[in-house]
Amino acid sequence: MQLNLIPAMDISSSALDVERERMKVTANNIANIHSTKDADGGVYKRRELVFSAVFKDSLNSENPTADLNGVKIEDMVSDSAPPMRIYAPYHPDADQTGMVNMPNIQPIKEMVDMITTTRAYEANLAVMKQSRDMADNTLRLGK
Amino acid sequence: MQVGPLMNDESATMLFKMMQMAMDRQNVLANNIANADTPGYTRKELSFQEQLASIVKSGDYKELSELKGALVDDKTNPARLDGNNIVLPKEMSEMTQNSMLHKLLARAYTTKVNILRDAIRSGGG
Repeated sequence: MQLNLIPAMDISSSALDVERERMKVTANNIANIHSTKDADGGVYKRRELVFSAVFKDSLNSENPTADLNGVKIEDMVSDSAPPMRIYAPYHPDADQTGMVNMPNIQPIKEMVDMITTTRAYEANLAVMKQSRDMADNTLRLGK
Repeated sequence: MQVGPLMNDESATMLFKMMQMAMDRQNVLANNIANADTPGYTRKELSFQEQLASIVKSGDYKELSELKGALVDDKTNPARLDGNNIVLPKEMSEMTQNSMLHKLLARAYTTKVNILRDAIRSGGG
């Protein structure tokens, strides 16, 4: 962004982006709570996002904060926790003993994740609002 | 009668510089909050107080233009299991304080302008 009137807008929006993606992953986990098939053919495994901080080499020696560039999604990983096994001999994916591998998803964990994501989203929105107030104050200088 | 610099005197220079610092600090705090869940992220802080103190002490306000602060890692908070040491409520309150400081500086400059404006008007009635 060339005109940097509002500070930190791109940083906060990068954070909003990753939190939105995290919400998608959580939603996908909950949606697949009974999926016995994943992309690799096995039972669905819980997905989780790994974030990493972004720094750009802006070569701007005037302003040390110019290097800060928010956050990005580094990777999406599968939870390696063992699948939940339930007894359901009628299920097409049941093995010899009548047990079925169900996804390693715990609804409570997903709910907590969802709340954390929402709060993080709200925190970043609050940052944006404060940043905008700052720009407002600057524009109203001397009035 | 000598008319000195009406608005761009030392205190105005100081106010503008501090507003600039508050803006820069907003960048740093926003980046901290954006990375509240990034594994291994260490809290960043903008350090300029010592440099500022030495400038104020020397009284050479021209040096203020040189003041730009440095980005430092702040390890005062203990790191969580994932190596991140951001405490979100702390960041939010820092940010509110920073925002209030910016507002205060803007208000100070406005007051300064208003004093001048009143002085100009008082002659004409």
